[in-house]
Amino acid sequence: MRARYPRDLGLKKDLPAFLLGLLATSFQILLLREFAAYFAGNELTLGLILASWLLWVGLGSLAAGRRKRPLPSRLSLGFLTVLLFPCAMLAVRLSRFLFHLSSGEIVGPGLVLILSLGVCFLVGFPLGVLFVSNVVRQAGNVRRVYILESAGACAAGLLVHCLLAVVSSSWAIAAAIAAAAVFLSFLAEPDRPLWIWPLGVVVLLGGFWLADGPSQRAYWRPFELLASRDTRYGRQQVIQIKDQRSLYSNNSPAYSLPDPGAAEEAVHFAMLQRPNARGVLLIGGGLGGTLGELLKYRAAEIDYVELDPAVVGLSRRFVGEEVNRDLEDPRVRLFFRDGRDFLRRSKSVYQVILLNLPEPATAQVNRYYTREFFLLARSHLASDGLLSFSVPSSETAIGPELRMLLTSLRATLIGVFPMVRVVPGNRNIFLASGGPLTLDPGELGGRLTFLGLTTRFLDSRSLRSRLHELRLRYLEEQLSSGVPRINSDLSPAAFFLSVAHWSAQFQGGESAFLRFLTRVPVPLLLGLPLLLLALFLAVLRGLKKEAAFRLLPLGLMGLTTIVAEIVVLLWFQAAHGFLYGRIALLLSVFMLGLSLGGLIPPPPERLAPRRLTAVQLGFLAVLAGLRLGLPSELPETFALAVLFSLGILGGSLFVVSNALYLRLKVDYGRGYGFELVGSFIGALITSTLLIPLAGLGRVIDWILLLNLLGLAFFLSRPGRSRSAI
Amino acid sequence: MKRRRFCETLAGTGLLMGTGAAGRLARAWDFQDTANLSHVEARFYKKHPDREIECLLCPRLCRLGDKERGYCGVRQNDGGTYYTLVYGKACSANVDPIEKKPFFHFLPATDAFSIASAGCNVNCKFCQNWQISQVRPEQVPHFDLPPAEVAAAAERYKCRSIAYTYTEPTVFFEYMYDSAVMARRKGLRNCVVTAGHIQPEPLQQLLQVVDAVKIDLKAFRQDFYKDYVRGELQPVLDSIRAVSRTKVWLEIVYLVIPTLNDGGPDIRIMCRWLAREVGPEIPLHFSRFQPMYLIKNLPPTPISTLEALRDIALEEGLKYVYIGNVPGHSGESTYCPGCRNKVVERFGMQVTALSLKKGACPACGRAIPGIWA
Repeated sequence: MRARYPRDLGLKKDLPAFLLGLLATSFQILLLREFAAYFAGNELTLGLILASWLLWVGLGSLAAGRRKRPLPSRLSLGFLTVLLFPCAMLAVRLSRFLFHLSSGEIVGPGLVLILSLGVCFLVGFPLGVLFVSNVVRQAGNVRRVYILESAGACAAGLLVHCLLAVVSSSWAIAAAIAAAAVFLSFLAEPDRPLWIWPLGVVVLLGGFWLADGPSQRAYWRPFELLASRDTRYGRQQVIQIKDQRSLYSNNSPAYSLPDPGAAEEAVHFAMLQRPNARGVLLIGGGLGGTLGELLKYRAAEIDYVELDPAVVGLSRRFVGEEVNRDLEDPRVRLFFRDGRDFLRRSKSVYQVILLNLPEPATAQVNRYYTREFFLLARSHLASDGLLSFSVPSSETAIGPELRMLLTSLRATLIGVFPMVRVVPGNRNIFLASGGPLTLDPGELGGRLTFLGLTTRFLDSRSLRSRLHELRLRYLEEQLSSGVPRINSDLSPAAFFLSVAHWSAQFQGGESAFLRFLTRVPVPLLLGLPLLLLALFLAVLRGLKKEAAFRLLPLGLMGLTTIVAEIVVLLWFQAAHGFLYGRIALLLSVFMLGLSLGGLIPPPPERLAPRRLTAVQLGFLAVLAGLRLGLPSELPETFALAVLFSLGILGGSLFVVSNALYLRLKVDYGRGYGFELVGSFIGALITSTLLIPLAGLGRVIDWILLLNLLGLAFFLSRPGRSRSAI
Repeated sequence: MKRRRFCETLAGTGLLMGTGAAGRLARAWDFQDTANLSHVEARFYKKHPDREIECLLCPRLCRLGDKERGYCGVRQNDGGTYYTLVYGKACSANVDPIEKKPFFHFLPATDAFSIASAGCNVNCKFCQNWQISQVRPEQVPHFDLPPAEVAAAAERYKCRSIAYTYTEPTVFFEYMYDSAVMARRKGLRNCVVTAGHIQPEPLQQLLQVVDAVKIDLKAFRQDFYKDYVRGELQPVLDSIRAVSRTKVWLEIVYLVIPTLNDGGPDIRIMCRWLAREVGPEIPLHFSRFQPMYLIKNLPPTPISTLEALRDIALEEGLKYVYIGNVPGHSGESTYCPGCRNKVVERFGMQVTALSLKKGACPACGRAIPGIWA
């Protein structure tokens, strides 16, 4: 049937490509969130999931490009993708049944990898095929599709972010975006099928939306799910068994009530050091008894900072009167803000700062365990003020991974505070101060008695046991062994070490491998891939594969842009606080840059290599600028400018390089596929391995060298190829 | 330079650099040092042809070829002789209140010198000490603490007893046994904290030299043992029965994990079995689970669940039923089953009042079983 595109409705021709970008990025964001909601959202698992997504989209594009037979219709592909997405989300949610895991059982990296590869295949692969399908529809105009897709991705980031502020279910958001995309695709299709088809898809999407609640309840059975809320910060849920209610954040228990005494150790080891403290700052985890324990100190005035208002809202409504009573105490001031940002803007000076946060298993939480944060905290403490936090540990023996993590944290503290003590136990409580600290059990027990504090777990006998000289000596020996890594914003070692410790639970080879990586000298860690790449490129150069000269820039671009993106995001988090709205803006700015970069008209054929060279030099310049600017506290406009520049360069490079390749061979998917494969590699290794082990600065150095190698390779292409171009 | 020569040079350079890099990488790899482990011949094994051995220590009855290790990871067949790798090699040594084990009818308000080596012959998904139980001995730091030193250290830290605990002491049987013998010579008592996954013969030998045993009964269902413990229920029940037939003091701990092993009917059956096979005066502790190890996404056990299970146990005739890990709960104290007088008051690990008179209730004179001094 002849295509019907009325001249005055040219937009309809472009709409499907825009919708592709919108759908792909929305699905990616929501699927990542679903994964994070059910699997330990540490950097390793998040890296695996993101990498799987990019890999399958890239492979889908590559496969579609090579396909000799005509692709399925774009509309049917789109409908299929839209229907597979709910299946993917369901698979994630009900994965514990798929893998025969017991209720509450955690999942190791191996299973995460299998599941993420499987689930991302369901959605990512058809999305990659859809890219090629759209190109075919646009008569081979890859550039146009790329620009539109990037624009759609740009819109998706902002749209999802805005919707999350008003809609409490990410499944609802997915269903709404997908339904809108289905209808618009249908309207834009010149060869429309019967309207019953999109209607049917939308009805199924509606069913998906309605299945959110029942599937969550099924997941939690035999517990009773009382409430669930998706926020920008994650999924908050309240469950009940018998008379006990528990708040869960991304599937991890935050606290339970009634749970008498659970919060004691988080509070009293610190407060007994400064029992008359007036100004107390509590960052995170105030509910579930912590505030109540703090309020036992009659002089204390408490500033309690909590990131997610939903945590407090759900707790007030569902969990118990104890929560309301503590929050309504006149001595408690509640702030909803990022804790580090709060401290940066505050002028208050405290006697005690308590961090009651999860362990530093992600780059986001790790910001509270870095040298820079400790310096910030110290600047808000009185001269003998105290900072305290705790991490899970072992009462009986400390294994090598745990030891590396604990020594890193202690060494980082020692670099800022003259006095640091660590309390042994199943949780190690770190105490750091400019004034004296004591771990004498008699002294602490005496203070407890003198203050008339009623406690359950901490009494003189348990203190004597916990602070016995044998335990203290053992812990001191462990913390003094090895060469500790300082945890800093630009070299966030602790979240890698946390991941290594976490993976040790699963007794696979992963923890040995991660531990091995900590011992590899950084120059070798970074240099070996460069050496291998150089050898590989030399071989390619020798083989004179023209396609390699034209495709390599794309792969390199994919790798470079994602590495640089991650570096900028981590630096931004560290410097400005993890402002969730800004992150969506940052990513959208990058996608906008990609889109605009694609709009730059490609040069004539004979000038294409020069343009490519210029773009690659542009990359080098931006990376060099980022490297120079990195250590300092630059305004956030710098981050936006870097991402925008990278986007422009990336979009421009894609257009030119892809056009060059298409002159060699008509394969619409290969260029896009190569770019995504490069992104896959970057996603897999950057935040999980390279950044924590080598630091942000060295990673930029590394990517600079990588680009130099790529540029050298491109410039070394044989003369007859030059004239052929 | 011709292309071939270029490639040869490049390949050679790459090989050299790669070799250097590989060497450096190999040095970074954590090849675990086994030289520091013990090499003491194990007890309770049988030799088979072709240098095979069969371990007879625990119900797994591992049959091993040369250089193979048992399931526990701390015993190895070396040329047809079976060796324990952890004799005198402790990875943890602490002073704990005896109530922490928990023993409530054994030397109350005293300290136990608690030791462990690495390894275990089960694999509980909720293990609190997985860092030393689910690893091989070369994977965790350990130190020399020979049996004589164990007893000397217990004396030094004024402990009345030595507890073999944290991991599964069955797997360091020889070390435990010899330490217990040395301890007895010094007048110290010995207590064992075990999952009860041990063969009858070694158990009988062990019972000659120890004074108290606490067995963790994880559930009263074989499927739970299979799915969450990777062990067998029946040997544990046999161990309980065997210990109860001797003069060695026995207490049972049941860690209550919400939704997994907290079913009332199962508990009732278990209590009936205990009352019948062991006797109604066996102390039974229902301990509160805290999120741990591989099931750390479960919430803690509701206190009301523990109370309900305690009620069931008391209904089934058990006299001394406790609630653990809930400091301040009335279920921590010991009550005379005759007159309900509180004879031992506890708050957490603290004994706040002890009113027994020569092991009997001061009010009605009823003997309260236990080793009280």
